[in-house]
Amino acid sequence: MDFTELFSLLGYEKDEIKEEGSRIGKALEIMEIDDDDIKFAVDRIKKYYDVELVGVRKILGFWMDAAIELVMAKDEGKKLVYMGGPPEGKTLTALNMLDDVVCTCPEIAYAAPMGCFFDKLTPVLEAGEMAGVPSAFAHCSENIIGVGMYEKELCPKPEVFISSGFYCDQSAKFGEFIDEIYGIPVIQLECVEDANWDEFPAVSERRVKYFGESIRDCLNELESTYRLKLSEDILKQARVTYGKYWYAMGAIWDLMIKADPQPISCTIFPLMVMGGVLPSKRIQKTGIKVLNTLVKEIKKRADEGKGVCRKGAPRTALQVGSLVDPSLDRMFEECGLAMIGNWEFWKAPTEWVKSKYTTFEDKTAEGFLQHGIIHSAPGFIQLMKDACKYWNLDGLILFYPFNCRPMACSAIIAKKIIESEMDIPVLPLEGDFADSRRYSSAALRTRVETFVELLKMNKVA
Amino acid sequence: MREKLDEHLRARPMELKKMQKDGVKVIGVAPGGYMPEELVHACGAVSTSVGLVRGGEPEPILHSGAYIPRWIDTFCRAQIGYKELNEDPLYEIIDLLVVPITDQNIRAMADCFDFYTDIPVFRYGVPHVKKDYALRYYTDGLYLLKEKLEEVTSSKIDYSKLHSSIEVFNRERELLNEISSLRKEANPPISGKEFIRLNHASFLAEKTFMVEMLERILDELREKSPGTTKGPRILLTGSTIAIGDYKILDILETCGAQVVIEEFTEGMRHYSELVEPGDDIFDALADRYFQRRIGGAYFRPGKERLEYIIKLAKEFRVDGVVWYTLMYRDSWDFEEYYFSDILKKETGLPMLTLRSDYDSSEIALIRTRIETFIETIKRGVNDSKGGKI
Repeated sequence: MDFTELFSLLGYEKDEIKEEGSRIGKALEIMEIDDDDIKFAVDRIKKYYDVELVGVRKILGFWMDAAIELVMAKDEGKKLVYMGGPPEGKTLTALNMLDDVVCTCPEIAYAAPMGCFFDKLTPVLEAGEMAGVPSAFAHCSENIIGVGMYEKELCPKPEVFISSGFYCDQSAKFGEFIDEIYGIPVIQLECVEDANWDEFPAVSERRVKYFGESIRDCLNELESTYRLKLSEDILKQARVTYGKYWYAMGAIWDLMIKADPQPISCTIFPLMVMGGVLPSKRIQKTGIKVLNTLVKEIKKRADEGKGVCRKGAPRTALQVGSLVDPSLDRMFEECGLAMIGNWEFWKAPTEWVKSKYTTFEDKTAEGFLQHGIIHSAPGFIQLMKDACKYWNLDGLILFYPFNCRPMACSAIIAKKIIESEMDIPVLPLEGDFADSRRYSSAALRTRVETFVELLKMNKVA
Repeated sequence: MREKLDEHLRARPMELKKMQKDGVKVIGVAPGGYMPEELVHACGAVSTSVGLVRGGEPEPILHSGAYIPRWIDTFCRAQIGYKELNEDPLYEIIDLLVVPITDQNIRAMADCFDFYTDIPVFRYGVPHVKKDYALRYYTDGLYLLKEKLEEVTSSKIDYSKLHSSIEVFNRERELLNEISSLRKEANPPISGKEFIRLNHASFLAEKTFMVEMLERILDELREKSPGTTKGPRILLTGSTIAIGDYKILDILETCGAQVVIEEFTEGMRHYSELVEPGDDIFDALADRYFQRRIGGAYFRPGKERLEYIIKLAKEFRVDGVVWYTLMYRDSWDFEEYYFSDILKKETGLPMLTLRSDYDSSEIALIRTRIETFIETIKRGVNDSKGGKI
């Protein structure tokens, strides 16, 4: 199997491909990737991504590496810890700092390359649906992929699964489900979503302390049951490492906000953002360097006036975009929109405040709960308003996963609030981040084209 | 006696409206059983949770589409539909809506009430684990609730009155428990639907009157001569059984089954645990309403409830379990998938899963499935096999 061209497109150096060759080959075999898939992936990556940019190729490589690391972990003697989405990233970062541990969200680490590069997720989704989590009941597609992966034995069983019950009910119950069906032990990260409507941006101390206790419980259990000790030093270092990636990404958004025309395609953004959500060992080691490379490349293009859409195109932004389907994100650009960035995990400058808490657990809890998307519906909507304001958007596209209870409900309310308070058109599109079967790009295109016409008219007026 | 109670229930909305004009505050409560109504009773406001326990009809669901996505739990969508239809007086007279936040579906419902209606909403969180810090969090929430109630009603909660309120509510729970327990007999003197309707009445009726009615009804039932042997005994369980959502009960009973016990997290007043007053009244409330209360499927783990269902199935000597859940209630969907195997292993009983979106077109399909299930039990096909049907 010749994967040299593919891995070059994924930012692997020649020496690295040579050195890692047998490991890569074995991993691809486990992932059921054949020559035809590789040829398909090469064409697809060239079609949808700015592969002439080193930064883009390296970001694509993060996800191929994450999938290889996942499927090879047990063979390589690593302890595996899985987390639900959205993961508690600082503990995940800390766990990945331990040499003998791999901590990841398998649903994302596996789905991103299998969807974005090989377009081979459907059999996994179907296996998940057959095994108890049908999409028709609005189960989260990440969980459907997760169950499908266990059913098809595409990933090794972890030592433990850490749920994201602090935000997502489905992640918590998914944890119980895989415990019951596949015998995978679960640690529940727990919080409650009880912020009152007018509470944002304040976060009640009792809520921080409650979530903090749950994180403390989790760390204690990791140490006592699974012999995974995270020292104070590692936790401190993890907080810094985790923050640095997000900070570096801020420089990319700054360039995107200022540039006209849009200098690079938005198709890379979901994978770039997810690098911050899920910092693997490779991302921790090379992430900042890769982002800095991309900053330089974007700047060069912007300075030269090069872009992927016409100058003056209506500006908009996506929440996350698709984690598995670059054709969806590309469709927005093809319709004539300038796609500035992905705002879901972004924080407005006013939200960057120094914590009054002193422990890792409380600081981490506060950091999460301060973020609009986790805080409450008004917090989520404020995040969108901030994005509209700071990113100078002409319109907002709310492409939200229909099966995510908090996001779906907030999206409908958000449209009404943003349109009335900010006089910016909002287009809600029901879809899915990880299951391309749940929307029709062609049907969405008609709606987006109409939206673009509206934005153009507004610009003229 | 039932007629007298029905008459009271019919007149109650107008009575509440009159009382409201005289300054009494009406507190709406989202269902789930995590709101100690004793607190409302003790500060002089009328406690009514009936405003948010109605369901079973398609119109509010259709109407809710403009406000809330389809992918939220049916019952939660129905509530915003009822409110926006402006047809039920109980949805119009609420001065404060108290929503104990249990999961994202309930949170979405609270968000819609906050954004689309003029009803003030007060939330406090129900943790999903039973740990010391979770109990503390819930107890703190009760203190916040007390402050809010005192602010809205402009009256302080009187601790001696709170003790009396607890006695009244405990008595109501005891009576419901005694009536329900009569169904352990081979020929229950009360049907499942009658019991659920009685339980539902407790959300609206004036409390002292309700207790008096329950005492009389219990006496009547005790004196009632035993009926003839009826069909298969069924345990009905699920997320929510709303006031008006009786189609499953009707179909089961017309197919010859008898619902002898229910376990629903929402829509029914929980009556198995009493408040046991101790040194601290709020600790006592938290102990009853959170610590000893069997939590819904949103608890992690949810095993406590599943074990409780098995215990009920044995105690009430049921022949089968019907798992009735509403569409898109994710936590119940996860549990349903593996519970039938646990039930089969522990009891050998068969289980039928039914889902509803309060759509009238479902009835024929549900009837066919229930008929088959009941017929299968009657013929004893599953006596030894159990499992999901």
